[in-house]
Amino acid sequence: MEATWHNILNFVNSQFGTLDWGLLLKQLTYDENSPLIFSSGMFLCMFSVFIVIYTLLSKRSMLRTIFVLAFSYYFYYKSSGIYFFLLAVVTCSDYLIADIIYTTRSKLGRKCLVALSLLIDLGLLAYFKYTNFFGQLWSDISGAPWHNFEIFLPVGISFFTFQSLSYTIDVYRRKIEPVDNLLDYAFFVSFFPQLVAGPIVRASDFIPQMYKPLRVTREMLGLGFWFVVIGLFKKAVISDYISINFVERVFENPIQFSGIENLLGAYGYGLQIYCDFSGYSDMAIGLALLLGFRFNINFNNPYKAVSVTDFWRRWHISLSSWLKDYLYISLGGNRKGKFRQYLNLLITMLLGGLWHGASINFIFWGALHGVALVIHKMWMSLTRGWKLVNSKVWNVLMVIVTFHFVIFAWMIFRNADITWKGLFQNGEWGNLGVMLSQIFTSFHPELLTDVVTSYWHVFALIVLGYCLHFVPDSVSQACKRAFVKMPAVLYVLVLVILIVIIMQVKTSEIQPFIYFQF
Amino acid sequence: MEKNYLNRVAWIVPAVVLSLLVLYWLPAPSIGGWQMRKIDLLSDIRNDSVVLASTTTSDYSGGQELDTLVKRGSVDEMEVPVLEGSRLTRGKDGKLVTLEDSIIEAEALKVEKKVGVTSIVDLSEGAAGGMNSFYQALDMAGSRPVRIAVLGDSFIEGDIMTAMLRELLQKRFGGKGCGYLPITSITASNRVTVKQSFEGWTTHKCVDRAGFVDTYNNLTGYYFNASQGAWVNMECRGNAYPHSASCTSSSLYYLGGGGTGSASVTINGTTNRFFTLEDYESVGKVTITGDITSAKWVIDNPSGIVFLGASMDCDNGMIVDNMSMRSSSGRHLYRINDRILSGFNNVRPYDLVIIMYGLNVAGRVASEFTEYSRMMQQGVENIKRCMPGTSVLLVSCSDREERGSNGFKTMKGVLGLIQAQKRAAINTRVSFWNLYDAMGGEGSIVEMVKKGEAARDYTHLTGRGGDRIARLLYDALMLGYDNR
Repeated sequence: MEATWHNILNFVNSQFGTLDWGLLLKQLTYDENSPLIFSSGMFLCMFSVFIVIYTLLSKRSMLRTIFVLAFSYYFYYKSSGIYFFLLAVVTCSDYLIADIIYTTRSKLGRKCLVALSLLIDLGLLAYFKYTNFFGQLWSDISGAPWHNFEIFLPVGISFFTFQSLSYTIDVYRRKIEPVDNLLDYAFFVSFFPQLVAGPIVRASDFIPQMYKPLRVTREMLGLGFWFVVIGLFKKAVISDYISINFVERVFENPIQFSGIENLLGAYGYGLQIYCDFSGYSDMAIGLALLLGFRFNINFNNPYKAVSVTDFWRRWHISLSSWLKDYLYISLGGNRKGKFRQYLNLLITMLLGGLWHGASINFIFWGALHGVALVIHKMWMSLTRGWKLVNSKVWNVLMVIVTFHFVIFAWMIFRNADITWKGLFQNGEWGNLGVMLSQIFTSFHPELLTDVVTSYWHVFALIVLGYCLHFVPDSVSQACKRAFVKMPAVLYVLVLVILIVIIMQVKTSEIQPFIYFQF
Repeated sequence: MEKNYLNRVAWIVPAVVLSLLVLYWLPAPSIGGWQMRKIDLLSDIRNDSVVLASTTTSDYSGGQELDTLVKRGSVDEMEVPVLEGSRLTRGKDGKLVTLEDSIIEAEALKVEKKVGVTSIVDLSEGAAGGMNSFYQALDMAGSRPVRIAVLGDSFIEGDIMTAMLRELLQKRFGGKGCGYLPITSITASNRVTVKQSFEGWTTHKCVDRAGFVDTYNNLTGYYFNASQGAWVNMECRGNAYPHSASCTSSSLYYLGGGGTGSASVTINGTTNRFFTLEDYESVGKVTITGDITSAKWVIDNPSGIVFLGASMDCDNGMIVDNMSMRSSSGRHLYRINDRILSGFNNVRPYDLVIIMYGLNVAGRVASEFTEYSRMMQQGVENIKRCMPGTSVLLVSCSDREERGSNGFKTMKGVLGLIQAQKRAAINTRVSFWNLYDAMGGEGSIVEMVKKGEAARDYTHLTGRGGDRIARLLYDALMLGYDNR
């Protein structure tokens, strides 16, 4: 027996040349630096094994639930190690709290219970994500000494705490009934497609699907692969390539680039963050479809927005609608007069900004969007009935204006080196200040041709990315329908070709650093 | 009820994986001259780092010219590129090493060691150019200024690395101010030790394709023409590096031969003083002293004077000058003007010159390194001749990486270039510090990128990375000083 095993290993070894089984073991265990991301070869291999077992268990729902749960926890363990216990803590506490809320009659009791759920979930989020930030901020403002704690940031904690909160709040609001058992709830909270990077799936959307028989329709099959293909292309081809070869270096050291390169870097970042984030969401949506679950879309061509308000209906929809339903409306929404509405908008966006990361630039970013939303609301009531604002030309103009506002806001978003101390004591805007000063005082438009021709791979991808983004909806819908109707064997072909391209991109030589400011 | 297509998913995904595994065995085609990379789904668990064997058992016995070895093909087994004209010998462990490596290694054995510190190797055998005169000068830092010039490229642009080196040295040996500055700078707004602004100048750089006159070539590679009323303002900044918060003197440097001009300076926004810019034979300097936090020099009458720079200095203690030039390879040192170099050293005498170039050469092919080495040697000789008694420290190129099918690898050119730099240090008998080793060698810049210490071009440093390199260099200097 041992000899046969040895022979098999030898055969595999000879066929695959230099596979290192020690490395395999290392790949399978927790490594902070190599989480299991959807665009990796490792995930593809694992998913292909997973899907076979999942299908074999399609009629045995209990076993299947346990299997998916185990895989999801493993998936989380791969990126955050021991911190998968947090998932369990959030799951158990919210499951129990929701159950008690459901049976509690007293209004005050229910309020206290939902507050407890908020306290636990947001408390965990605050401790792991914001302790050092607020400590440092306090120290900067008051001058008191502060030493950062060594706190690990568990991956996706902002997503799964929000997701779980939607459940307790909806039970509290009597919108949904609690799930039957803890296992089902654990399945919902940890479902791996959306676990670490969203979309934030609502309990009210997801849980009913769990209790239906598992079924992947022909349309879901086609759409699932469509979203995977689109997501992979956005994330692993466009975003990864332009970021490493151009965008990141501009943002990291803007002083080494002329104004025109800084501006192009900012446009590039707009595409990069969209492709990175929405690409990952698309893959999550696609994978879920292939497993028989429908998620709502998370991005809807956000740069086609004609206003900031419109932008937030198109960008990270699962977050913006979460904030609207659970924060903005809880604050009173628009029911308490204009002033309170504006204030609520500002608070919502400020906290929404902070949700993105524990750094002051995110607060500024959120606040800027909040102010823009308020101004737009005022503008709307001012221009009601104006003919001009409904014309096509006006809309095009507004798309351009909105796009540039969003890009400017991304520049704040990306420059995390803005600090309270630097800003309010020394008036330093960090790299953001450098970028703006390069753009406004050292623009060098004459370098445009040099820059574009030297980085032509990068700019070809940026142009392609934006063109695909601005394609009319009718065209992209037609492509989607055609893809869905394709024979399944062609899905294999498309995926293989795409992955071959991704591997070329992944291992391509880094574009050398080029100076234009001679 | 509609059919369940879950089974399809369960064969499509494995089919994709299998197809990709099969592709691994197919040769990667080249399309229109572009070579496709091999499709390797399992690259994460593949270990194909080739072991560079040192098993040459041929009749080779050391000291052979490289050409012979190339013909036999044994050089392929070397772990480092070999310069043209180099000799190979066997190291202590029986491995083939280049002559350059063996000399540096042998010298390194003689100096004091400390864990975590890459020692400076002094190849001068006590002669001029070695580190001794600098270490002796450090003992006098309490009573006179001790100056270091750091010559480099974009790696240290914007006072990266030098800001922290200066801070550390000033902390130990005293001293204030950010040192010497070319009059204009494209990184003026970004320097954390001084806020520099200027107007009315025409800038000439040695890397310009046209317009740079070699006659005015000097240590920094910059010179400037002023229009009437041209000014440069320098405000000390001490937020990040407290010793740069103020200084005790400010000077303006210019070349003679342009007639007599005049300038005025405003200190801390109030005190005004006027200077006549006398026509000296080589380099002229005018200085104002006081407790200075800002100095604004205005050229009232430029005459035909060529200007070099300005400085924010101290009467005693350490002065570290960042003399960086974006995209420079250090080639200007080769054709530097002797009269200006010694004239400059007379008005601003240096105790140590640190030369750190290379990134702009590392992309070249190995055959050019021999020529580069020759050029560097001439540059170092020029410095030694015009600045007698000054210590010279040649610093190797840093790690710069490129991406291949198996992730990042140090550019082959970097290793070849370091050989060239070692040869230059050996032949000119100055000191050598291996920055590549000090950083951590292969893979170190990748690690630094992960920690936010280097930019994503896997070449340049961030401010934090500069601080780290400065500490490494400081530790090396202090190890030498404490064991002098």
